[in-house]
Amino acid sequence: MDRQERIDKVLGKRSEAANQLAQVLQNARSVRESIVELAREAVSAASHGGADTQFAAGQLRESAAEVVNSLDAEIARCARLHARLSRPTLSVGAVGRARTGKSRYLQSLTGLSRQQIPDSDGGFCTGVTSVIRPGPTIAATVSFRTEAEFRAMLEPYYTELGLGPVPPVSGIVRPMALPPDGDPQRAEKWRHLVGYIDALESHRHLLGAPPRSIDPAELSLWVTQTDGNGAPLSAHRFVDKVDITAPFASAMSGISVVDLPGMGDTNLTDIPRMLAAVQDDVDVVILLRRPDPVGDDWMAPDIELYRRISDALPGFPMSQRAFILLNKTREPDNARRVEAFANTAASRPMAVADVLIADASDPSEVARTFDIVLDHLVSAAESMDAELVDSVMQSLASVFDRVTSLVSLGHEITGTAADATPQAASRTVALTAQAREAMAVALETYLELLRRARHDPDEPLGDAIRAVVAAARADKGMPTAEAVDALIAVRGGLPIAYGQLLNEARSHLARHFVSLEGALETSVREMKERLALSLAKDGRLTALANGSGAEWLVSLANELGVALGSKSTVRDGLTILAGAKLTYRGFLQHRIRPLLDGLNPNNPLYPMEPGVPYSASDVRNMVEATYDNALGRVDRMLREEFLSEPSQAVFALVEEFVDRILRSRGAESQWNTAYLQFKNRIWPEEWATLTSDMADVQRWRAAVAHFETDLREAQRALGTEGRVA
Amino acid sequence: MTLTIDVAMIGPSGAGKTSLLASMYSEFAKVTAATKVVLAPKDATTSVELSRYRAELAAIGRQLVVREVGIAGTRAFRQHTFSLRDVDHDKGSHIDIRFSDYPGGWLTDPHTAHQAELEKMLKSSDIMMIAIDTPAMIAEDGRFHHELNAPQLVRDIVQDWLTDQRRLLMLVPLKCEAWAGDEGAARELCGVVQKEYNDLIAIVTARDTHPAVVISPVQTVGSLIFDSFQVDDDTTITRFRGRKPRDQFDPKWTAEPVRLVIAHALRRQQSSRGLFKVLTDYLTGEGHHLRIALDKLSKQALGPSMEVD
Repeated sequence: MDRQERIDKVLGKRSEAANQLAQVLQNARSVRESIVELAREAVSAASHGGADTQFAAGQLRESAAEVVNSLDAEIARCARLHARLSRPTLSVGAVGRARTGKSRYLQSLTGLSRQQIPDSDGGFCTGVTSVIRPGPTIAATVSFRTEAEFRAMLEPYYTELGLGPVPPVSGIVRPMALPPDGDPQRAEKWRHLVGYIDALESHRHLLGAPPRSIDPAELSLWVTQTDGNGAPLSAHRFVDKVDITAPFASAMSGISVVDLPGMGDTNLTDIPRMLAAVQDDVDVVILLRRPDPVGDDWMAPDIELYRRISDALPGFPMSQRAFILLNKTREPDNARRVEAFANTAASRPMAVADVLIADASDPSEVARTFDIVLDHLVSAAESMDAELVDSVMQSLASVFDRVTSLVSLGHEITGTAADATPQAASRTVALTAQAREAMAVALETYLELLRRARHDPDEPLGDAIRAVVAAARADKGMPTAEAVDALIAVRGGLPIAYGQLLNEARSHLARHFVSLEGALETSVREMKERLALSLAKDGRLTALANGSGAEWLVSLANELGVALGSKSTVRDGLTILAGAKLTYRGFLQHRIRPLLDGLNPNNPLYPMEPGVPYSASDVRNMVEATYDNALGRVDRMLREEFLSEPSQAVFALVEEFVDRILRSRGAESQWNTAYLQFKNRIWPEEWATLTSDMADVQRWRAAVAHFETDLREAQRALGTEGRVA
Repeated sequence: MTLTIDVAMIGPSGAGKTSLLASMYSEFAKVTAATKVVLAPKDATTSVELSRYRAELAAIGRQLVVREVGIAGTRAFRQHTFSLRDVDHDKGSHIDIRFSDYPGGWLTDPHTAHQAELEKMLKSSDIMMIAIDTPAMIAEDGRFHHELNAPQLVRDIVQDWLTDQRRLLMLVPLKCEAWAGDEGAARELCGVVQKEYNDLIAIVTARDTHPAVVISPVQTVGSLIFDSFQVDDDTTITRFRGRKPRDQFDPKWTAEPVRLVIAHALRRQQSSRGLFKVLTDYLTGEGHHLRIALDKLSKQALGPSMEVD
């Protein structure tokens, strides 16, 4: 791909990104408008609500103001990036203090003459930004400042000289002269200002005039500060910028060169103007410097210029987007100083992509260095653009994230808009009674179900018991006869070995039953899930808690704690139930252990009788028979006595829970408090009917809906829909 | 001339009826050594079958950890006939005792072949022996009693069997080693049987002339005791364990039911009708020596049995 193709490709991508940004911008502006509308409607919508509602409205207005400020900043940033990406050219800025050969460089680059790009060799000094684009012929268009821009340009002088605000253009008059022995810098500023004001009388008609096509030969009259004879010219003060086309030395398109005004040491207006241009219109910048052959070095103004340009080009380091070009002249010959400058640039606080050397008056050298700059620009532009777009979109998305806090405030106002009306109070009482009643019926029904089923076997536990018993029967951990022989030898006798084998068998058997804990948990978990569902559905508490089962109950307890405080029987009931467990150790162990007594060497099922010649095989058989016997006893206990125990325990847990949260003293008033406090989350749809005939609340609802739609749309475009800050 | 006393055996599969016959046959000789009466299998088949059965039983009886579920019981209708003889007068006539082992399944399955024939034979038996699976009746509060021993069905069968003759009804708890370790405990067990079969006994004794009702526990193996029920998905296995390692096969009280049969027969010879008229004629005639021997035998209890009035 040759360079032209690459330039076209970069520009094509910019155009796509610009279109995307245009949509983002439009969305952001819509969101901003709907937030403003929301803030406007909040106060009157809240007027029928209670103190909470009005507090929420106040909060909403404050948050809205803050969010709008952030949004404005992001919108501005986004708009600038949009303008930059919409520009039809890649753009190289040229900047340098007076007499660095910048105009010569541009003349060499573009083939324009000294009339068309005046240089200071003839005593000229550029005062206007020129944008030069390749074109078939030389042509120029001048754009003029508006009155507002003109006044904005005077403002720093007025401020510096203590003259107060800038009056409308028709009211601007020459200020009084300064005392002759005053500060020379102030005197210089006064002189600049008077230059503008004196010129106003004869040039006022230019302010706000439409762009004008001019003869390129007359260009210097519009952009320079003095004519060929040193007489001052004033038209440049009213010119915003000049657009020039010219056939460049090397044929190309899609490129523009921005000639930025030279910096007068004391001309305050030049700096912000130049910086504004650099920020929005320039992709890379060339800083020109012509070292003086005698005693010159990098100076403080060089570094200051670099710093200001760096400040004006945020987002990317200068090392990626700036070049220093050292102008090497033959007459006088500054070759040695140029070399010294090039060697020392890296040691100054002026990081750049490259330091180039060229004779500004030699078109071939200029073209060579410009090629280097262009190559860099084309290869870096794509990633730089992508990063800028990404950064802007992310900042905007994070502002949108903050905007979502307005949604909940909005809903709170909607929900409580009718709080102060008498109907609201009676409706709350009625709804609370209904929900409480439904919850009580559901809980009592469930409790009755459990009461009837409390002697029923627990089916899942029955399955688990069968599985565990089968496993214990299949895996007895019984040693082989040889292992028993070895043990007898090691332990020094059959009775001791028998005792050890009994102990091992007992422990092995007991371990099998630990796994029943899972089945015990199942019945309790199911009970918690069922209760959580009853409270959520029948008690209408869905909106107050998250998760399911125990997690939901804890979440509800925490939420109710907000309304009821820590000494609430309702909250306690929920917390205790959520934490209830049936464990192997607490529930099963003490029943199983006594049944393993036959495996205790102190009181074995098969005592060793004195005088009997037991064999290793006898010992093994006695242990196994005892194991089988103990397993049979445990099996029977589990099947006969234990199977309904979890049902009874679950019934007891639920009965106590119901006692606490429904039947205990104060429980009813606790529920009333909770329902009142959370009524807007519990019955969000109920309050609409109460406010249906209030026009301001209707407008408010529309504003909330509008806002939500806009926000959702804007977030969807950014791919962050549903994201919470 | 041969007289045959029919004993109908009723009870669930696996209750231990065949085991009882096998043990009884081998143990009878020991307990009757002092008498001149012998009990011998009438035919070779009975002899071979029961001998083999007894050998298997003895092998199991020596185990501590019983790995086999048990010996496969009788599934088909079987008859085992024993002859009672006087050792000194072995020529000529004698008395046969014919045990008809009605298959357990037949009790609950009405579609068995030859059912009518079986029913007829059952009704004509003068003596009925109800074999009771003792673990099913007692263990785990009689959890499997109704399922295995089917007391209601038994009651119905007995009710059909009742006539106005004084027959003999024997209730024989088998596999009772765990609960009837000695004769004292065995008598307590008789009390339990009496209570569990209260309905049946009440129906029987309500008649003016009613059969004699006797309870006669038998330890068919002696060395194995009930351990537990192993309840799996759809089967229940009764588990036994040895009393101590390498304990000997040692059945107890197996001859007592035979003694009761003989004692009953002797009592019934007073009657002048049917079979017992013939028996009376025989015992007062050529069977005179046998009569003396049986008289002696019938007076000496061979186990802890109990008569219910």
